[in-house]
Amino acid sequence: MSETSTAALIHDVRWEIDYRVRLGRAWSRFMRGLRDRKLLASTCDHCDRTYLPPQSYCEACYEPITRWQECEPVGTLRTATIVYQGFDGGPQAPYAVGAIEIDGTHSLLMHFVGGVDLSDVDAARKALRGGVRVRAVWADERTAAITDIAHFAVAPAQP
Amino acid sequence: MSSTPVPPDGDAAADGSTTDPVAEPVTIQGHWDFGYTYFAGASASRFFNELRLNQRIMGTHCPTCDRVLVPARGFCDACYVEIDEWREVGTEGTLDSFTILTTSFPGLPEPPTVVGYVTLDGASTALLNAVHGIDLHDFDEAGALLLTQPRVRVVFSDKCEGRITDFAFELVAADA
Ligand SMILES: [Zn+2]
Ligand SMILES: [Zn+2]
Repeated sequence: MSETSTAALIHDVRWEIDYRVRLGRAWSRFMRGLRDRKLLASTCDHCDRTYLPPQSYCEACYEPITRWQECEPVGTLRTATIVYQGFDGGPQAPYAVGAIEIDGTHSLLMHFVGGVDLSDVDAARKALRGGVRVRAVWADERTAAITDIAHFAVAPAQP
Repeated sequence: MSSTPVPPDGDAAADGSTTDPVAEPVTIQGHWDFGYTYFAGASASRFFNELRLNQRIMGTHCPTCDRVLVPARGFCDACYVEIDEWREVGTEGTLDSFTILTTSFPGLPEPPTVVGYVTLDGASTALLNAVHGIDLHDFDEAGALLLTQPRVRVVFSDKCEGRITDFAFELVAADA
């Protein structure tokens, strides 16, 4: 039997990739809705689930979806994470990312969560607990992109 | 009222926005350019070192569920227990699943190529790697052959560097 090495294996990696994503039927309509400050969701005729971001097919019954709704840009934060280690091309850390259930939908939208002071970690984690209400803050300049919503702001606590 | 109905798909007349999302989809231009250091961790480091030094494929055995995980992992993904019992698995196995790549991607070999999931003899999980030596002049014919879940063998390259490209699969029947 020859030797066995447990030496740590380390590779230096460089990614340099140009690409283009065509968003397709549902997400194209969704992004163009954002440009007009409209939050559009699709609803399955078969099971009545509403998807936001919208989908052309229902992931529960595999039926095609053609029905659409415009939603109030408010919802409930279901989970969140605070990013302290930035990433090339990403926003300046720290920032918060959350999974948001828009009212009347049965899915989660990932987006930035703002309006919380992230310098105090413990306070920020409390403020970003699941169940808090959030509202979309529209970007001034909108280009049919997900960043047409600047972030979702945590609603101030009710007095 | 938290939501209001809007016109269905394909009803451009009723829909104020007349841009057809199928004919004119929103397109995102992307550019990734970043470098990083990949540390393989204890189990994967040993797995890759075994390829380089001994030209053998190693898995780890979970005593709780009695599975051999390949490539070797430090934890069982079914039982969440730490595992450290190393086993060499066979150099032949079954092609469970595959895809034929027809579009080029930076850093990958020129298409068309085949990538497959192979469960090696003695392993409980499938291992992803290139499948060489398939005649790809006719994709339907190649696909029909690969769908039979043929037996494949591991072939090591002449110069092993401790990377997954140190080996590839080829059909056992190819030279029968
Ligand atoms: Zn459905
Ligand atoms: Zn196990």
